Amino acid sequence: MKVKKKLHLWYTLTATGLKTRTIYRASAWMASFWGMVTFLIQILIWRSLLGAGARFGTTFEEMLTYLMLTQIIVFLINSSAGLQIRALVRTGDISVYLLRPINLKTLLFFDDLGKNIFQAIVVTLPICAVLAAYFGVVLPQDPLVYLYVSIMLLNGMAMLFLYRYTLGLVSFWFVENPFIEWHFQNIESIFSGAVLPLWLCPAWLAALSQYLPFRYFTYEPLALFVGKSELSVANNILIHQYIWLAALFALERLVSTRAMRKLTLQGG
Amino acid sequence: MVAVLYHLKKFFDIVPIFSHNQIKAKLEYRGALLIDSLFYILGYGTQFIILYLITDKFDAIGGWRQYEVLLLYSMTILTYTIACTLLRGPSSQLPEKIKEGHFDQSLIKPIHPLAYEIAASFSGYFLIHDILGIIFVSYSLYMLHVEMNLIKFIFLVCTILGGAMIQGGVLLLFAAVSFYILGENPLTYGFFIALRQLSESPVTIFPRIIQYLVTFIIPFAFICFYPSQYLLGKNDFLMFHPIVQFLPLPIGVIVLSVGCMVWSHGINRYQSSGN
Repeated sequence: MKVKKKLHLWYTLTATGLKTRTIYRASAWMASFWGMVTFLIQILIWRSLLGAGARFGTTFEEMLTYLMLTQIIVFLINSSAGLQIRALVRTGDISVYLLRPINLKTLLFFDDLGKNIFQAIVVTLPICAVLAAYFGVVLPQDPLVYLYVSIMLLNGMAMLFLYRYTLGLVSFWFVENPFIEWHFQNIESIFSGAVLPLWLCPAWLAALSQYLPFRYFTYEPLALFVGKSELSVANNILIHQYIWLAALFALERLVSTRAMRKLTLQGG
Repeated sequence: MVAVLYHLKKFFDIVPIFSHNQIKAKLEYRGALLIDSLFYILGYGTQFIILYLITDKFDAIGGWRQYEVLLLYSMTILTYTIACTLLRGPSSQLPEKIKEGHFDQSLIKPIHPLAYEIAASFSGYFLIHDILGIIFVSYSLYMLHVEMNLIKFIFLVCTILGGAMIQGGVLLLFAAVSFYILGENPLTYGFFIALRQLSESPVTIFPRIIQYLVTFIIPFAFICFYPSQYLLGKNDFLMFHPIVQFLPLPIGVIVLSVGCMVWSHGINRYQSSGN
């Protein structure tokens, strides 16, 4: 009974997140469209760099598949938890949210999920499907790859949420939280392989990224998908993801506890 | 003429006051300010590094070698930061102000609303971004061994001014759409950032339709692609006359004037959403 109630709550929260996106769908469509313009420009740059055939062991079709999936997955596992926490702390509305009988983290997670489903499946996927049909993509033959990639992406989603949520909690100390701005995300992007795949990066950068969580969000599963890493290392990647998940969870608990002690309400 | 001088005098009177207050407000959260500034530098620096890594690996993009491409990126960032330092208020912040009804405040001041918006959002703090842009441009020019003489230096300054005017004018134009339509402005800031990428890479790699677009419609090719060819001694003018390399400043004046006019005209269409 308890499980059923919980599942219903999660479903309701996800549906509400989805509904907010459909209500402001004009804004969501526009944001996605301009995102697609950015993406298209990136594709043209890569086409110029890679041309026909392969350069540095990478064909244009492989790169396109990688970039397109990154685009869809980034939308699918995106999290605005940090931005939402900052807004709640700034306005003082955080007090209302903390009094609710639902855990703030659960609420934000399923709200993100609802928004992401709309963004990724309703908006981004059709545009990418058109681009894929035009340019052509590469797909793996082995069904095991699909299974591993799905599990890795679910782990990546949980990791990214915990990471963004923890960064959002910094707003309890710094109201003008700089960790959730574009410039900080830029710094992450160099280690995440989202803009420049890590297999094309210098060895020192790829080695450095091994000690950070970013490459395990989307890069590792998608590198496996386009055949840039072997199925034999998939279990090893999963182990790394679980270690990072545990570390991020522990960090989030620690920061959450301290943030509640630090709580200063603005306005009312 | 007297009215213009009156508004100009008022403008220069209030800029230092607003700037002082903006810096004071920022200094309220010193820790965050320090980290924010550091991350800004690292954020722009990261984009520079990513471009460096790509051009290092592939040697060139569309026939433009590593530091030539980095010069395009640097010029785009420098001209963008200059435009933003001055025009943040009436451009990127405007749609939100209109939506919230806060723009009403600008209409009751004894100064032209555009001048008020520029003055109210101006902050010396943002000059740090411009300095970063200057460092990027200087570094790229140094690595390209460009021999600077007085004519080239004046040309560079005029190009930067022209580029800032082009970006500023387009920012104003896009933001002014919020005056004319109720609801969401389709030409958002995200759109501008997406299009700006067209000036960060050699225009030669894009299809012909985009080459026309960035030359005649949204003239981003004049920000750095055409003028930097004079500095680098290149001859890559697509299907256009080489004179295009000397046009950034006049094009900038035209685009900024159009932006200001559309923006000022838009005020008459403004309907307050109340507050």
